[in-house]
Amino acid sequence: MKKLSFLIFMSFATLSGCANMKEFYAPPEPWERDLLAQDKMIIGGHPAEAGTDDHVYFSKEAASIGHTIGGGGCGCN
Amino acid sequence: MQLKKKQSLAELLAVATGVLLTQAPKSALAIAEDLDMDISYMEYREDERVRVREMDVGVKWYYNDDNIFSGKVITDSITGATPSGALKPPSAASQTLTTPSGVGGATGFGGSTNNYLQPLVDFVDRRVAVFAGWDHTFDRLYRGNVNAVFSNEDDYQSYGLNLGGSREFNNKLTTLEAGVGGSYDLITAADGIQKEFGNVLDDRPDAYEDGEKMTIDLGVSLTQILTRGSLIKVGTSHGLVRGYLSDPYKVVTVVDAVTREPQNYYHEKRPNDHRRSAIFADYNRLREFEDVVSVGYRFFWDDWGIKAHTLDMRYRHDLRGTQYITGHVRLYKQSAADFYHAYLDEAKNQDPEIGSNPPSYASADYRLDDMTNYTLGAKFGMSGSLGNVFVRYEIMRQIGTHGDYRQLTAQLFQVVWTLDFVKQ
Repeated sequence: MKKLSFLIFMSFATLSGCANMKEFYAPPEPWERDLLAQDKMIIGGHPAEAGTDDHVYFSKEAASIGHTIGGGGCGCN
Repeated sequence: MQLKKKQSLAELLAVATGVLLTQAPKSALAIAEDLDMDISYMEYREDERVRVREMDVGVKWYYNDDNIFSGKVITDSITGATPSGALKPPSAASQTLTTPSGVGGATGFGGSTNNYLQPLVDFVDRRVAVFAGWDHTFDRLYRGNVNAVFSNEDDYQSYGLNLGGSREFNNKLTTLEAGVGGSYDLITAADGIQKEFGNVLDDRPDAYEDGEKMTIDLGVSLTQILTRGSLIKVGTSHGLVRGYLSDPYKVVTVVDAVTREPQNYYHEKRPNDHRRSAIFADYNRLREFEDVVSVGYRFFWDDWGIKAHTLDMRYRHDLRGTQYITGHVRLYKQSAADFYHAYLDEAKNQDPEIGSNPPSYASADYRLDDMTNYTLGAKFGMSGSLGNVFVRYEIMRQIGTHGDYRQLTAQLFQVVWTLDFVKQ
């Protein structure tokens, strides 16, 4: 009986694990990419906003490489 | 009956194919004449320090299915005051001896009557930067891009070229991107580049003409679509900068550490090489088919001894219609550069000229100190017949560990208007 209970528990745990897993990894079909195609889903946000932030933080912090490379150098104060 | 069904399916396919084929040229025509324009105005203001006004105009021209051309012009004007690295003198008396950048304010070294350098000095500068880019699709899976940039300030010029490429895999669920960027910078300070560790109060006998530096950066990233509403990007970047890397306007002070009385001022000296690296991850997730959660993390390290963590979080909430708001929190923490010194101690013989134990390099630039930054921001955006507009406000609090100017509060306001021109 204990063995059966353990098996049932493990089955539920595995199934719920799969369900959670699907929440984080369930690749869409090609025709299901409408949501990802929206501008708001672009990683890094709007280029004008990202560019401004990069310039501000480049001027005020020591870390100056990461999400982007290159860019317009400056003798920032 | 079965045969008839098959025929009707074939007919349907033929019709569908026909529709696709007849619609394709129309779509291409629309894309061929599609033009996006971004107009941005930004105002950045630090309490009692730097103030920047910036105007950008960017254009993206979707020439056809395979080619996108882009261009951007940025102009900004910078005024205000910035720390020179000199310690605040123990008495109220002080004299302005140098400007940190550009023209305006006081000029020249020497002529001091009390040998104190002003720790916070006024300056004026202007910048114009021009970007041009070409994005090309080679076939269904390969894309490449080239971007050129030229930036000019009163005392600084930069020429850069970036090349990038991407390849899609795994039924276009995975994208691998790689890029290389190089730049050449020319530093032409208002009074000429000074000798590193040269005494500020000397009559500049060893002034350089210009400073030069070369930069090369490499980056690789992988983007993976995880679900219908989430994706992740992970990547790494590495860069090498070589040349004149000191700041020509920054100084270090030799003091009597007990009385804090300045004994000498020297132009700062940084190494001529700087190797930088970073790894990062960004995750975007759609909630309830509308809101977007974005989380990004970056770890940075370099051979100057700096390590930095950046955590960036945004939450976008769609309001009714085409309006939305976004909240933003950013946390940043860095360790100090090995050669950061708020001051050099005379008692420890650290004077670069007359001391017996001077450091190899020294900078009192507050940006190389142990530091924690907090940023809070809010954005409101909307779409209409005249395009998309958003306004945002950010406030940043910077808290250093040493030095006289270790705390800073800055505010940023930006409005961006995006226009889409599509010929019907």
